[in-house]
Amino acid sequence: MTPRRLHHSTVALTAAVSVGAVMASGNAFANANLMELMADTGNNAITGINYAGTRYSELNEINRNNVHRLVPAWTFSTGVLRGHEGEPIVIGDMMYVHTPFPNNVYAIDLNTRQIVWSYEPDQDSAVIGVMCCDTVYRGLAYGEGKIFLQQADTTLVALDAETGEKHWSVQNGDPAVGETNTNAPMVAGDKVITGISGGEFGVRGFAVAYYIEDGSQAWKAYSTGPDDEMLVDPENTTSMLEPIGENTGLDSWEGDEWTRGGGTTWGWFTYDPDLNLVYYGTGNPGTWNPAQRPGDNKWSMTIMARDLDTGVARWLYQKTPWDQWDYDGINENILVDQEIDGEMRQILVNFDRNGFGYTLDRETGELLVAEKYDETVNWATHVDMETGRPQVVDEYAPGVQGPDVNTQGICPAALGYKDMQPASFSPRTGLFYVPTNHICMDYEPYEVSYVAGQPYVGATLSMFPTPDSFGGMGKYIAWDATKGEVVWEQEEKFAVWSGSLTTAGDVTFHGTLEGYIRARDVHTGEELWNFRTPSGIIGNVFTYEHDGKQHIGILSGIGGWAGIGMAAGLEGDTEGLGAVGAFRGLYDHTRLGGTLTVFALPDFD
Amino acid sequence: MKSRVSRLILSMMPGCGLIALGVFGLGSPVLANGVAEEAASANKPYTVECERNEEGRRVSCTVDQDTFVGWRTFGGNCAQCHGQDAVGSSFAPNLIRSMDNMTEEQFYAVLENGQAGGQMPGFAENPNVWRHKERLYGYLRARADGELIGGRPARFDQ
Repeated sequence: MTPRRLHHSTVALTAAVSVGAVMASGNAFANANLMELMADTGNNAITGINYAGTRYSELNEINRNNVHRLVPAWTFSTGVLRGHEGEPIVIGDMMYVHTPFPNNVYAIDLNTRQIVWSYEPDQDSAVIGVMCCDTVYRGLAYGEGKIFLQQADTTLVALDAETGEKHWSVQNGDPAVGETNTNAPMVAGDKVITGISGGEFGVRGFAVAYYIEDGSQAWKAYSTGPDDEMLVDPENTTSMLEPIGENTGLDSWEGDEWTRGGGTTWGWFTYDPDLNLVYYGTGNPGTWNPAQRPGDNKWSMTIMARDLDTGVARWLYQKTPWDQWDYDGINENILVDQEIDGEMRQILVNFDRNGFGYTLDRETGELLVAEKYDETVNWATHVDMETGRPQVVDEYAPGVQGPDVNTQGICPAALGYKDMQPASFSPRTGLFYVPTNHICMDYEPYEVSYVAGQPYVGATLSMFPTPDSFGGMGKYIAWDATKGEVVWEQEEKFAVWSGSLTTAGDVTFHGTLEGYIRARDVHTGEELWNFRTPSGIIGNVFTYEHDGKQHIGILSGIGGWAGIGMAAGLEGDTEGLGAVGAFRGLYDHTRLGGTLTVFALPDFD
Repeated sequence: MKSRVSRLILSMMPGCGLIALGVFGLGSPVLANGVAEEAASANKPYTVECERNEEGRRVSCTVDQDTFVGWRTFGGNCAQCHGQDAVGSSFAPNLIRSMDNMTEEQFYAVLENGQAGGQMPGFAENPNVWRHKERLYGYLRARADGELIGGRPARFDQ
């Protein structure tokens, strides 16, 4: 598809010059180039602000004392109605905005706010039918003058950042067997790394690295299966500090269930340049009926640390062996250095769907902390720090209760106490700011047959606000990862399905499903400001500087799995268990539609 | 399950009468509709009994085995898009409402082939769905008729 230039050549030329100036440092090493761009605090050169995924900005013009004066500076309609996750990237004078399916890209000149180029891929809409939970897309990546677009139909495209022209594209999967993409790719070194979606279709998950230069494949590492296809070394790849041994990705499954074993990789990637390790999580194992896949189902539900150059795993940690709840382990892994027991540690922090907040040594994979970030988690009592295994409570374990039994009152629900909405970290407070859900479920597994390209679920669920709690379905919390303790929490009516941003102005931001963007005090969580955007928010708050002014931006547009609550009900729907009525409340607050809203302090009072 | 004949008659409810007449050529529209309404009340593709609380609100319902399997099939294969209890989501319609806009045959055609420009896939090749298509229809009819409340129904003793 040829990109359309919507404006006359002088506009494109102006933009080209400004982008060119930013990239003038040379492209010998994309890593260095991109790291330089990330170091410029005015940019949002990578989704998550930096490789560590802290979503922390050094910008401090907007602070605790003046944030209440924020006003909209400009807005942009994406023209797409579906759920809008992720955030745009900003490099110099250019902003690159992505949309859900059909995955359009808009390059906007921040000086003129004109669309310098757009890329509107022509995708077969049949892919929508094999996407679980809406046609979301979480963002773009930049490297060596290229913008990387990961389309829903699994096509990875490299576009020229100045002109939008296509350099190359590569097919990453096959929608005919249920493989799709929703993740943001990540550029590191001379590679761009991406994953795969399709955990509800019995696909076999993998992460893959392509060379930025020409799209040729550098490595591909499956989440399940033989060691050579998983890129694990039985003697040198460790878990809980011990070598994993041979064929763990086969022997922890019965029969050939590993071939449809899930472990998809649709979450966020982070990277430590010093250790040269890439971090990501793998999703739920195959069918949601655990009786059909006895065993630990390795390496689903796992935090993976892989060498960027070879793809070989340094260490693995499986959070939820033999999943019985769909606690899809793909949430972001945030990399920070903090003192634990008097010793500075290089740590990785993960807020899993299963309700535990994990702190690991990111070089060795040593488990340091594993505590509940919501005290109502009931499927496990605790994590055994010797074995790393959760101590499962049989009463809330559908796999233990067996097929055709309705296991009731499990907390959290399959949505997790946190889903993909990324947390942030402030080095000024040493705390993590975490958008969470507060929803439980009944779960009834049953026998299911596998057919390629068809849903492979085998369970039916009912979800409802966490019982005997405050009645809401979300919280925004501050977490001390060195101790595994909640420092403060703020209640929300609906799940907080929006990614967090924290700044050097000691303000932490998030969106809500009703459509509010909120600013809170990092020390107390007290709300300092809010603004009602046009639709519910499932995107990530981001910031950038332009013309010497700090801006705060957010994509609104209700949808995603959170949009399951957008039900137009009939009379009588609130009868019965009350669950549907609780979710339906969202419909009283918002409607569909994608909009970017950007805020700044007013120029004068 | 009910017989095939009674299910076809059910499809001749008001609003669908012309389609049904075109296929079967039954008498006058008035007579056909009269027959259909009577037949529908006598031959619903589900059995539902609900308990009410002191305020008269239904708090729990019990269904026949087929309707239960329909509920379960919906939960495993349809709820991801059409929402818990078929009430719809931000990306797929409320089926409680749209069931009234289609005949049983149209329902099976959509289930078989998908629709909306490919956005809904066909389920003819999916044994988890297709072999239960009539049970799924019965469950959704019970929801659309307002007879079955949301949540997991109980099953009559077999």
